[in-house]
Amino acid sequence: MSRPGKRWSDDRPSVEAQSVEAPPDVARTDDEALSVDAPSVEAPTDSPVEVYLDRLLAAAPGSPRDVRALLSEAEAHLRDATAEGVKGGLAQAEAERRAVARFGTVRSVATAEAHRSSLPFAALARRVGVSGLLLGAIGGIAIGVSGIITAILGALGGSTFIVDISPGSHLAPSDCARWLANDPGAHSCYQAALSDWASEIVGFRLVAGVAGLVALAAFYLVRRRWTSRQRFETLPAPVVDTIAVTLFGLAGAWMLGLGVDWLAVGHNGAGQWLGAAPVALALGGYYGFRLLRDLQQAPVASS
Amino acid sequence: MGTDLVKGQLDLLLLGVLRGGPRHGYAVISDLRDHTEGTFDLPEGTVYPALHRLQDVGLLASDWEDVAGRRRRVYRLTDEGRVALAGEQQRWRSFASAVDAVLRARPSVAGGLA
Repeated sequence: MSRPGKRWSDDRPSVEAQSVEAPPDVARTDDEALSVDAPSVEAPTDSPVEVYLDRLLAAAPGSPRDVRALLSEAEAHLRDATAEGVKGGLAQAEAERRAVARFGTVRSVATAEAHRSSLPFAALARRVGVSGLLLGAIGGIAIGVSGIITAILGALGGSTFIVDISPGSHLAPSDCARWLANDPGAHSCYQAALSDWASEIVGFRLVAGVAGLVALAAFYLVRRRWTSRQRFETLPAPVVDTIAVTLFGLAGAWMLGLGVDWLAVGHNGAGQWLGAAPVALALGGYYGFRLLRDLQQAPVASS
Repeated sequence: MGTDLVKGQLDLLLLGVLRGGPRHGYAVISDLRDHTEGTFDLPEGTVYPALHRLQDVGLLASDWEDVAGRRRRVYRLTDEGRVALAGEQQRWRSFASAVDAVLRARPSVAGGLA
C-alpha cells in the first residue's frame, strides 16, 4: 500500500524517550494508526506495519525494556504474517494491512500490556513481605546493638544512667521481694530494682538483636530459594529507603532528644536513650544517603 | 461468545500449546488458531501481553533467539507451568463434563411444576 506525498524525518525520539513520555492512554485505533496525517508520531515510511509499530511504540506502557521487547515481538509477528500473506498471493501492502488488522488495535494491545504490567496482589504481598522482613531484621539487629551500647554505658556510668528510677520512687513490697530474691547481694530494694531493670533493658534489646539475626537469616534463605525460581522481588529501592530513613531517622531524633532532655534535667536513665539514638541515626543516615543516590541515578525512569 | 470463551481460557490454551515444546509468539498463535479450528478470533497482538503475564508469574520462561533471520522471543513451560497446566486441565475437564451433563439431561416439566 503506497501512499503518495509525505516524506518522514528520521530524527524521531529513541524508544526510551518516547516510552517514558507517552502515557498509556494515548493508544489509538487502527484507522488512526494507519493514517498518514495522524499528528503525534512521525514514521520513516508509510507502510502499514511501520506506522503501526510507531503507534505501538508511543502507546505501549511499561519500562523501556518492556516496550522494546513488545516492539520486537510485534515487528517479528507482523513481518511473519505479512510474509505468509504474500506467499498466499497478496500484494505486499495488502498483506501488511491484513497482518496489522489481525494483530488488533494499538489500544487493545497497549491496554492488555498495561493490565499485565499491573502487579498482582500475590506479587505485591511478596514484595512487601520480603522488604518488611529485611527492614525488620535490620531494625532488630539495631536494637541489639543498642543493647550492647547501653550495657557499656551502664558499666561506665552506673545503673542509674540507664534506668529511670529515682531514689524516692515508690516500689511495691511484692516487687521488692522478687528483686531482692534475684539479687541477694543488693543492699536495698532500690539497688535490687536498679539491677533488675538494667538487666531487663539490656536483655530485651539483646533478644531483639537475636530475633533480628534470625530474620536476616530467613531473608537470605528466602532470597536464595526464590531467586532460583525467579520469584525473588523486593519493593523498589527508593520505596524501601524512604521507609527506612523515615523510621530510623524519626526514632533516632526522638531518642536523642529524650536522652539529652533527661540528661539536662538530671533525670535518671538518659543512657537508655543515648545508647539507642546513635544506632538509629546512623541507619537513618545510611538510608538517607542511599535514597539520594537512588534519586540521582534514576531521576526520571524510576517508577 | 466465542471470543469471551477463548479469552477466559487463554492462559490454559497458551500453556497447552507450549506443552508441545518451546515456540515463539507467532508460532504459538498459529498453533492456537489451527488447533481451535478458527474459534480463536482474539486480536493476535493481545496474546503477547498474556504470554508476558504468564512469564511474570513464573509459569513460562523465555529466551531471545535468532530464528529464520529474525530476533524472536521463544517461550517455554517452566516446571511450575507444567504443574499449573495439569491443575487447570483437570479443572477444565470437570467443568466441561458438568456443563455437558446439564445439557444432556432431559427436561422434566412435571417435576418442575410439582
